[in-house]
Amino acid sequence: MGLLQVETTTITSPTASFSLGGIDDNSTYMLAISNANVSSQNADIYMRVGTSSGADTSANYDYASKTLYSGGLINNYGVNQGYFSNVFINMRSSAGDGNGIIYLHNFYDSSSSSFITLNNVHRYTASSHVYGVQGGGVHTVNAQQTHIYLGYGGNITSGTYTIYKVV
Amino acid sequence: MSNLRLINETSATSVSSISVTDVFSADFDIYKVVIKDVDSTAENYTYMKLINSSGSIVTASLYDYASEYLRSYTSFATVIGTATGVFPRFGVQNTGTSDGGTTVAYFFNPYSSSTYTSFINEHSGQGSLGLVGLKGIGQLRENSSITGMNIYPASGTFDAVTVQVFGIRVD
Repeated sequence: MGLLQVETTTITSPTASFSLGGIDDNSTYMLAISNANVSSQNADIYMRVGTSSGADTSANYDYASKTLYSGGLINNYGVNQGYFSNVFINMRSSAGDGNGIIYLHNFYDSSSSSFITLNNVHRYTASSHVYGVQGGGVHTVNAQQTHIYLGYGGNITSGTYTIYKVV
Repeated sequence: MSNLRLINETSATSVSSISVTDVFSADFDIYKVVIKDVDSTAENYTYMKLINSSGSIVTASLYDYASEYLRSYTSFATVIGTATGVFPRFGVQNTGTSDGGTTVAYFFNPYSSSTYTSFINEHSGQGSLGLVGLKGIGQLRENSSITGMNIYPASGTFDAVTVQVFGIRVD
């Protein structure tokens, strides 16, 4: 497996949402996230799909995942949501250490829904628990997507976010 | 050129543990680690401890983890721990090369002395009763610079083991 960098951004000040693009063929793409943090305790980071014209804000996001943490295990799932609300959950407001690998499937195929598989790890709210989501999601619209949008659960204050094409 | 760069590949035979040192650096924030071609004298879990920039194995009770142990022949099991002295569910080793088994993990910010070192890991292999797998997360609860890892079986020894470390480059 090889990876070709498509687009990257580093967040250094509070940002409600931002996008990454560059998805331009039917390859699988990988989003790598390093050292993400949020500005308020217990905040989340959600994801939407879209194009350069903006994110799809319609209620067409289904997801299911297992949250592993050093205090137990939680099921997370939802249908017809306004975003994938299981990317980062209940983050610590400082030193949240949000990290993850998210694969993006069938985004560019206009005759298919868009799928994600995600594995992430971060620090849980005010405690020191390690916390991570393992699961997936589908955007149930047959349309071409070229961007992902992150945010919507509170301001994001830091992190490096990079999309790679899997080759 | 691929942004996935092979940094190190270490193989060993007839060893009680394998250390991979000086593989994490300031050049990368995210690393992919593959443990493959594992053959051991006993079926058991693969343990892992981190190695700091002084070259010492971190043995303090600073490891948090959560793992789901997946088996084809019986129910799953959730295994969690806080402030332990080791990551005890990094992988699983079996007793024959034909049984294979591979662990894949991603490490985040190990070299940074201002963040925790975190990882996600998964494993799939074949034990005597059927498929054994893991999905897990872990974190070293201290801001320290980590440069490598030490891997060993919970019981028995490795007849053979190979560890590959890749850096995921951001340009």
